[in-house]
Amino acid sequence: MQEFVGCFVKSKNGRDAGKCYVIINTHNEYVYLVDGNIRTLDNPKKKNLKHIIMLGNYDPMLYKAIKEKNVKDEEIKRAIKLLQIERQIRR
Amino acid sequence: MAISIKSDREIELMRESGKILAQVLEELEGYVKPGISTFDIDKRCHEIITSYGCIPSFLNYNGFPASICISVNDEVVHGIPSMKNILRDGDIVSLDCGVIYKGYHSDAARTIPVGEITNEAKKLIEVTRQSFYEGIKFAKEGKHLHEISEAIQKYVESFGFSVVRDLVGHGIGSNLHEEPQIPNFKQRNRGPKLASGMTLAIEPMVNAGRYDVYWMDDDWTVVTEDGSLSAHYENTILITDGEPEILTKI
Repeated sequence: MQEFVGCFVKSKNGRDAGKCYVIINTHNEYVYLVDGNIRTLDNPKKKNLKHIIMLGNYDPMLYKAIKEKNVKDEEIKRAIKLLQIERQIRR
Repeated sequence: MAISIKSDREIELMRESGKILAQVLEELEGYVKPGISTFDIDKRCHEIITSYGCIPSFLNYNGFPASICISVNDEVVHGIPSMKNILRDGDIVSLDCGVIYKGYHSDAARTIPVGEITNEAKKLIEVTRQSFYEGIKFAKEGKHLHEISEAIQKYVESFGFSVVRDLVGHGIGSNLHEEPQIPNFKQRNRGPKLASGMTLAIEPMVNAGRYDVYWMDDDWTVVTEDGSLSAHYENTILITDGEPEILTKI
């Protein structure tokens, strides 16, 4: 079973459909998402798992920073940007 | 990185948890045959786990609806058991399960054949299993975590298979998922130094084709992007000052 914290996701439903986030916490079938920009670490977005598309557990260093609670919004923003570039290259 | 070192008492509880899980998986392997549904396997799994006085780790974890993940053929992980999913001769099926014994988790996975399978499928299963053992040659006090990752990748790719990048192993103990994350492919840095008392769930996931995966609409099942077969092998291990101890064995 894979952990969700640190996973990159895309919003499936809602006004933010298509936006990428990182999961920083979970509670039952809900996840708490940040993008380091509009949804920051002190204001994460709560979403139901059904409303997100999982993109994968991508970055062990980011995961470590999230778990140790010393991740910054800038790092989240950068990590999402890198993921988007990487996925474009892979295509 | 705050990787917890388990006390002697905790190690003993995880040893017991692991032994029980190994027995659960062994019994389930005998139960799998053509014509059985993955729902039936989940039902049997739940019965066996609770008969040992344990709790299935996965049931309701982040809302997961079953006691075991059952992934067939091109499904990599997190397959949800279903009455509609009937196993057929020639399938390969991954059983990924966890138990909680007196508050301590163990986690293990096996990929097994259903009836007669192709030689390529046999090779995939065996390479995946052996890649775990190649990885744990580096799972010793004083070594660095990502030496395990690199060893797994090197072994798998030498056979023309690929290691899934988007899914990783993990630390484990009183929580199912603890630090660190354990990728199955080479990293830029060596990762943290391993120390006696760490307990890790190492789980190579190997695709016969490309490593890309995606999540199905059920928001759980992960499948290979190119439709190729995927195998999974996992054990919970204890780092010691000598050889690592595999906790999820009978």
